[in-house]
Amino acid sequence: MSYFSRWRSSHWWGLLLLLGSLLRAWQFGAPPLWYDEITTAWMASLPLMRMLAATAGDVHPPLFLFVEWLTAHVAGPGAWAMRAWPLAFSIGALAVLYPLARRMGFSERAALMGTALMAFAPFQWYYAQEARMYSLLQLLVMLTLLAVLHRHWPLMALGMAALMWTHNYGALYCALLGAWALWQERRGERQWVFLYGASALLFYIPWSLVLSWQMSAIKNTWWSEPTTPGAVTYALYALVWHTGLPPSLAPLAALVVFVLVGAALIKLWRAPHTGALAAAAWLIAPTLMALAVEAFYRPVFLNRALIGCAPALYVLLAWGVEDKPGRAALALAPLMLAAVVWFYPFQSVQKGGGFDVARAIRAEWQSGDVVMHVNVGTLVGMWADGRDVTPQYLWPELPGSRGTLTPQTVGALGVNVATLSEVEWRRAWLVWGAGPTIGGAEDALIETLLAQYPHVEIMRVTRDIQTGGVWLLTRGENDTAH
Amino acid sequence: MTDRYTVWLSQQAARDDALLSLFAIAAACMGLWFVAGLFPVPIAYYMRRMFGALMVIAYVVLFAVALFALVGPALAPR
Repeated sequence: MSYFSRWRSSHWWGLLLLLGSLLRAWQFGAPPLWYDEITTAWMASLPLMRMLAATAGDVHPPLFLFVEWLTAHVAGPGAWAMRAWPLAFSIGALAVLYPLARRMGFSERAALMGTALMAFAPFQWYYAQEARMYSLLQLLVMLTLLAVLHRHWPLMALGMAALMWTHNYGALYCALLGAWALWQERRGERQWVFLYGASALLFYIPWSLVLSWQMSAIKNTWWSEPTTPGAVTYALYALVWHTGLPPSLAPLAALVVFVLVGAALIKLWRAPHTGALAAAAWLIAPTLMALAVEAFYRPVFLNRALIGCAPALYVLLAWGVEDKPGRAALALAPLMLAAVVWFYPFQSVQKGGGFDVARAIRAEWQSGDVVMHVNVGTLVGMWADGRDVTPQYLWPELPGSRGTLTPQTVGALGVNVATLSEVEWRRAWLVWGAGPTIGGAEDALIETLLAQYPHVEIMRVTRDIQTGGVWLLTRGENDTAH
Repeated sequence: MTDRYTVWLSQQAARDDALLSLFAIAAACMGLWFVAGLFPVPIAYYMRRMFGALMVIAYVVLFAVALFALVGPALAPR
């Protein structure tokens, strides 16, 4: 290869890295934090031991939260600070794809086209701007794979341990990466893989005890349903487009992805390529392992946790059409342009779509008032912009809801759990927001309380599968507890 | 569980089913493309040219319809 063409590749790579970084960073602190992100911010604001206790009561390992804990204690728990690390991890992953793809044996063109796909994929923009652990998970998978390909076993062990401490899917990725390392080594030289793989497991032992508790605690209250072929197909779409396109363009965008997958499969059939086969295994194996876990435990298939496979999809799709880059660009560019126009305004609506409880309450707040949340949804929501409004209480959890915070996490967060009869009050702001995973017992409770106390409806929200409202309950001096 | 949950599941199932249908369409297109390549050279060449043109037309039509669905309501007289 001539010096000139190498120079051009590096410039293409630099340009893609720059554009991809700009698209990830554009307005990343502007949309308000939403429920999952507020949980991150709230936990990160706690003292260290309480943060660990809150995490242990939840469903994730604590590595990402520890990073956010450091950030929150230096820069505060605002949207800008909480999303800064995910943004950096996402840009890091974009930078790593090219050397990784080259190391896997892909051509310069395929590696660059894969980088372009990753730079312009709305799925990547979303998780670059999400104060959760997913962009870190992706970066760790890529770095650990790079360590495997370079036979750098201590780094592989470090990466595996970090993966398992970042997300429970980390264990699936570790199994994949371990198998990859064993496959690549000759029979007599596999002892180092075993040794360092075992040392990574050793690092994980403390949290594995917590994981077993978490698994039993949430087994019957988690919200995911058995995986269907359609759900797996949707994951393929989501790894590129996520919610980055208007619904009217989604069918076309899905067709383009599926055709690109078909092109890659046909090419793989005609001209098997070790790197492409490995990328296909990287793409498929975590899903197969998640389905195997589902067979023995309960459904655990989660689109966003497949972010660790997304780079494999990008490079595989790019490889499938590397001989016709112009046609691939013509098919993808209009959709990606539409995504650029659609994504950022929609992101604000999507993340800030909750009803503005704090402002409504502040407008009419009187000394002696209390706020009563019927579930954690509005309580967490109000932490972001109304935690100065006190006192706030959480009604003890009613049966039938899924995916709510466990009593352990609620306790570590320092939430006051009580019914209205256990609290001194004259005016109570009853706040309720119910998504699809909230059970019918809460609807019944709201009806009972509204029938029991004189009240004024401050706001009522009913849209699609969301419902909720804010009511100001009052009671006279002589009223007793209900 | 409540109706909300049932409605949510059915919405997801409808979306997934639609995607499966699209996947089947894409698979059929790629299958035809693959089969076309098995014909002798001149026939395969023209079949693929024709097939490629149809795909481009389908793309343009679908994109135009999607844009119209998106922008049309905003432009409609009130």
